[in-house]
Parts: sequence; structure tokens; C-alpha cells
Amino acid sequence: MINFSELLWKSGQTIDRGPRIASFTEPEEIRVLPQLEHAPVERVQIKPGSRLAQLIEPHSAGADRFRFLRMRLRELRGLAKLRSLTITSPMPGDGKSTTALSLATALAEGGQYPTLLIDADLHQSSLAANLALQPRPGLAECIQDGLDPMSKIVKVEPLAWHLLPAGKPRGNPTELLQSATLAEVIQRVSQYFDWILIDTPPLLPLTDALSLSRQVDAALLVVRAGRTSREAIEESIKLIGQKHVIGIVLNGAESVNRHYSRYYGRYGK
Amino acid sequence: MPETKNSLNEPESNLNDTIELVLGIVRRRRWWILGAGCLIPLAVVAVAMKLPDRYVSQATLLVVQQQVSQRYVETDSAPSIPAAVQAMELEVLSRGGLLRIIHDLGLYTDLKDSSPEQLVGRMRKDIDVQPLESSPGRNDFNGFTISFSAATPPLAQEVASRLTSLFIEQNLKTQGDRAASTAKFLSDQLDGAKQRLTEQEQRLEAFKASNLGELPEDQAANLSALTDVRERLETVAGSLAQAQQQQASLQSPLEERLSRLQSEKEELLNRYTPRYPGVIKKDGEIKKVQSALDRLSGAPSAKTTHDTDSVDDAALAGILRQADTIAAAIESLTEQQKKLRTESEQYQKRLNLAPVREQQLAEILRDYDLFKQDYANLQKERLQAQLTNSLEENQEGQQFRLVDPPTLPVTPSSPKRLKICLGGMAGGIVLGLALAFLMDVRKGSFYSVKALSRSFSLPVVLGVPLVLTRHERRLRVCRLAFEWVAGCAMTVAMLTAEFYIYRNG
Repeated sequence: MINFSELLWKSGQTIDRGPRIASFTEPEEIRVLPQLEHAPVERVQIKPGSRLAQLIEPHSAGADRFRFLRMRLRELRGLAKLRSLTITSPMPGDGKSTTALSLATALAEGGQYPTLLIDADLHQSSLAANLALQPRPGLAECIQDGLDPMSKIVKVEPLAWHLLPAGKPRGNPTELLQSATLAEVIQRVSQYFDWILIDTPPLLPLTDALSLSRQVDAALLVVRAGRTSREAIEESIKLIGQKHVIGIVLNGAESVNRHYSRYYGRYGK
Repeated sequence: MPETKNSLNEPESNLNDTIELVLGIVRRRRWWILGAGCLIPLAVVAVAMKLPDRYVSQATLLVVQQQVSQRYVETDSAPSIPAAVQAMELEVLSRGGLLRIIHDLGLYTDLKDSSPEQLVGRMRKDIDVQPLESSPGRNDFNGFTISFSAATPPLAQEVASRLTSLFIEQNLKTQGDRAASTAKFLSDQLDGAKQRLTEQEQRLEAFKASNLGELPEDQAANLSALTDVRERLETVAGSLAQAQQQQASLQSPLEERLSRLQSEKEELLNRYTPRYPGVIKKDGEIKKVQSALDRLSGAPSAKTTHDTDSVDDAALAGILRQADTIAAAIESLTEQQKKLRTESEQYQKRLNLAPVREQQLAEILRDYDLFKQDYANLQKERLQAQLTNSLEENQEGQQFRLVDPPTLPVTPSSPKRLKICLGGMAGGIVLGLALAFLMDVRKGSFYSVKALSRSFSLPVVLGVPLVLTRHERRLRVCRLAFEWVAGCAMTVAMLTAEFYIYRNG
């Protein structure tokens, strides 16, 4: 388990100080692992209700913020082993699924770093629905039936990352996520991806996120501006463990758009 | 490149953070602020319009000092004007007085179910008595205003007029009562002082009588008398000494005579018997001489005089006669001396006691003087009080003069609608801000990355904006438009109401 407090000290504590032009030129070389070549491809439709900033407004402040997050994660990866992350939040509706989708898109942008997003919210999976994908077997089946997770992964285009859907659990989802098979599944897929993001259920109502956090390198906490209380955040960090939490994403932060539009006019697209 | 902290920018940064925080609250809770800031003033305006008008009638009374110069009649030290007015206020605005006015003028008919105490309390609230400020340099004028607030102008004026009259009458009564009370008090004090003075005089006389001759004023006479007595004593002493000298000079011839007579007697006894007339005669002479000698020597058994006719020897008879005279003189001088000595002692004693008597007399006289002075002062003050009393009876003392009679108000004095409405507006805004702040604090959540990063020190803390769907964006635009329209409408309504109050009161 990585001690991210030390990492904070080592990295000189980078705090989000405002909008930055986070996009940088990705290497032109695109990596495609042979094992993923045959993964089925799903093309997403941009629904009117889609919140994927990179799709709706690729040059918006929101899209830029996720590129900045990507940059930070890559920097931290240079300091310590950082490959797998859970994306979680204290309460439902804080925006963790949207954040997971956006972050996966940002990480996979350019195609250099294969990225896998696992939908581990077996109680109320939403990733596939967000992307208007057909329901498919996924993580639940891998755990309860011992299936090879690589056979259930789909590639999501044009977002250029892979998805392991939640599937349909037959038993208690919490029991599934606490089984030893989950670790094997994650272990199996880690060989093939540079980044593994796991979208979990909310922390405080359920214990699923805790079980998942134990299987990954770090946790990224998503909180909602004006809604998530300080006590909930503190409780969540306490549950996961201060050393294991890599950061907090404030969804709906004020002044981001305002600062961005002020700077955007100066620097252009 | 790591970011360096500039300590000079910190206060500015803190100020900027605070401004951002406040603006954030205002932005997020704008409807609380707008709602409270518009609705509360509108409600206050509505209430202010409904409030009944009150009219105030005011009269001004001046306190005019006495008309007779203080050189002739000094007034007693009255309390200050505000204190006196306050005391008079308590008298005039007493429960009984006010109930009489309420009954006579038919006040507070809308409160007929209230208790007398409530009616009196209500009337007291409608009455206001304020002292006027005296202008510097002019201490002889001072005054106060009496005002009454009522629902109609004529009623306000009538009640104010009644109150003014009561104050004037009460002042005259108070002044008169005070003067009379003072005079009576002083009379009683004077009687007591006279009694004390009389007692002290008696004590003085008794002392003088019992210490006659020993008083300080007798000292000179005593001294003179003592000197005189001492002189006489000297004279007597001198005479006595002389007499004693003469006495001593007679003693030796008498002793010779005695010896000779004894020899002669012995001779006769040699020849005759003791019954021999010559022996008896000789014996008699011997006895006389012996007696004379005894007398000269002062023996107490000696006879005072001798029968010298029976003595044949003329010289002896002369000596015996001289001896008797000298002895008598000595006795007399001795007696005188004794008397004079007694007198001298007496006078000396008097002189010795003089300082003691002087001190005792001084104490008595001191008290006597005090009582006398006290009596004189009280007499003077009583006379002054009688003059003051006379002054008050003729209404030439300090009195109230009506300078401005009770006014007939034209415009209502209350409620001050504009002030109330402006206060309502300010209060509404303040309340709105307070509510906004409270709502924000109560939430206990975060709105900015800065606040979040201050609370949680983690490698990655960043903010992302809310990604809105198209539908949500459209709704947002509509909502903003509605907010603008509604906000402007409420603001216009509130300002119009305030302006109306400003124009129409």
C-alpha cells in the first residue's frame, strides 16, 4: 500500500491552483496489446443526457480539468507504484461514475496507455447505461462463475478505453466483492493495462468500496460541492485510510468555469 | 517549479479569500438575500401604512426666578430645576390625578375594559416632560416642555393644556408649602435654642455665685488685698518685735527687783513671821513682780493686769504698769498677726485657684456663646423664612410662566414611516445576509478547491465543474432569466413602496 502522505511531501504538494492548459502532446505511437486486439468493440452514442465532457465539449474547462488530473496521476506514478485506482464517494449522487468515465477517457486519450474501467457497483451499475451500451455479463459473472475477465472486456469507441461491465449478480453483491476471486480478477487484468479504474458503490452506506480499495493501489475520492459534508469526507478518508487516499475531486467546484473562461480567451483553443 | 510563498502577499491573499468567500455565499444564497431584502421591507411598508397616526401637542414653561432682589429676601436652597420638575411630575402624574383627567376628558374609550392601572400606564406613556437646556451664561432662565400624544389634534391640545395648568398650580402649592414648613420648623428650633441658652445662663450665674472671689475678674482685687495684708503683716511684725524688745528690756530690772524683794523678804522673815504685814506686803510685791515677769515671758497662767495701787515703790509700780501695757500690746499684736496671716493665706488660696476657675468659667462661657450665637442665627433665619413665606403668598417667588401654550398639531408626529421602512429594508438585507451565511455554514460542505485543500492535505485536490446536459443547460438559462425578472420585479416593487412612503409619509 502506497503512503500518499509521503508522496505528497516528496512531490512538493501539488494542489489545484486553477485552470491550466493540461493537454500536452501525447506520443504519436499507439500501443495495442495482442490480447486486447480481439476484444469486442462497442461504439457509444452521444445521448442528450451525456455528461462526458470530452465528448460533449472537448475544449471545455471540465475536459481540461480531467487532463490535468491525468497529468498528476502520471507524475505520481513516476514516484510510486500507481496502476490501479478506485473511484469512490461518500454518498450516492456525488458524481463518481461520471468522474470515472471522464478520467478513463482522459487517461486513454492518445491511445498510449491502455486503460480499463471496471464497473464494480454491482448494486446499481450505471456505466453501461451512461454509455447506452447493451447489458453484458461482466465482473459479477467472473467472480461467481470463475470466468476469464479478459473474455468479458469490451472496447469502448471512440473513447479508446476498455470496460469490464458489472454484469448481473445472482447472490449478494457485497459477498461477491469480498470473495478472494475478486483479487484474482484484478490480478489477471493488471497484466494487460497500464491503468485500471474501478467504479465502486458509495462508501458510507455500503462496505463494498472498502473491500475493493484493499485490492488496488490507491483510492480517489469524489465529493459534491455544496452537498457532501465535511464529516462525510472525514469519515470516508478514515475508512479507507489516510495513507491510501490519493486525492479528492470536488465535483461542481465554483469558479472553475469563471477562471477558465477568463484565461481561455487569452490563450485560445 | 515549486511555488514560493511571499509573506507580503499573505494579508492580501487572506483578504481576497474572504472576499471570494463572501461573494460565493451571496451568489449561492442570492434568493435568501433577495427574498428577505424585498419581502420584509414590503411587509414593513404594509404594516407602517396601517399604523394609526398620533398627534403631539406641546407647551413650554419657563422657570422664572423671584421678583424681589435676593439681597432682601434670600430663597432657600431649592433642588435643581430638573429634580424639582421630576418631583412635580410624580405629583401631577399620580394615579389619582391621571384618572381624574381620563374621566373628565373621556380618554381611552377604546380601552374601557382595561384596569385603572393599565389606563394610567398608557397615559403616562403618552405624556412627555423634558427639561430645556439652559443657555450658557444665563443661569436665571430655565424651563421644560410638556407634551401629550393623542389620536386627534384637538384632544392632544386639550390634555396638554390641562397638564400645563396642573404643573403651574402644583408649583405654587409646593413653593408655599415649603415656605410655611420652613417657618414652622425654624420656630420650633428657636424655642429649643432659647431654652438651652436660658439653662446655660443659669449655670453661669450659679458658678459665679459659688466661686465668688475666686473668679478671674477678682484676681486683681485679691492681689491688691494680699499685698495690703502682707504690708500690714509686716507692720504688725515690726511692732511686735519692738514690743518684745521693750519687754526684754523690762525683764532684767524686774528680775533685779524680784531678787531684791526676795532678799528683803528673807530679811523680814529672819525677824518676823510670815504673817507679819510687812512680810505679807513684801510677798504681794514679789507675786506681782513674778506675775509681771511671767507675763513678759508669756506664761499662760499670768494675770493680765496688776493692781499697782498697793505697791509702795513708785518705780516698781511704773515698771509693772509698763509691763502690763507691753504684755497687752504683745498679745494684741500677736492676735493681729495671726488674723493677718489667715487673711493672707485666704487671698493666696484664691489666687492659686484663679487659673482653675478661669478654665471652668471659659468652658461655661464657650457653651454660652455658642448657644447665644445659635439662637441669634435661628432668629435671623426665621425672619428670612417669614419674608419668603410672604413672598410666596404674594406670588413674587420662583414660578412657572407659560411661554408657548399647547400647540394644535397639524401633521402627525408618529409613526415615522420613512424611518420604519428604511429600517425594514436594512433589516431585511441584514437578515437575508445572516440567513444566507447561516445556511451556508449549516451545510458544512465545500464549494471551492482552496477550502478543501486547506482542510485535507492530499497529493491531488482539484475541482471539476458540473457537466450539464443540454436540457439542464436550457433549464438553467430559463431559470436565470426568471431569477433576473423576478429579482428586478421584487426590487422595483420594494423601491416603489419606499418611494411612496417617502413622498406621502
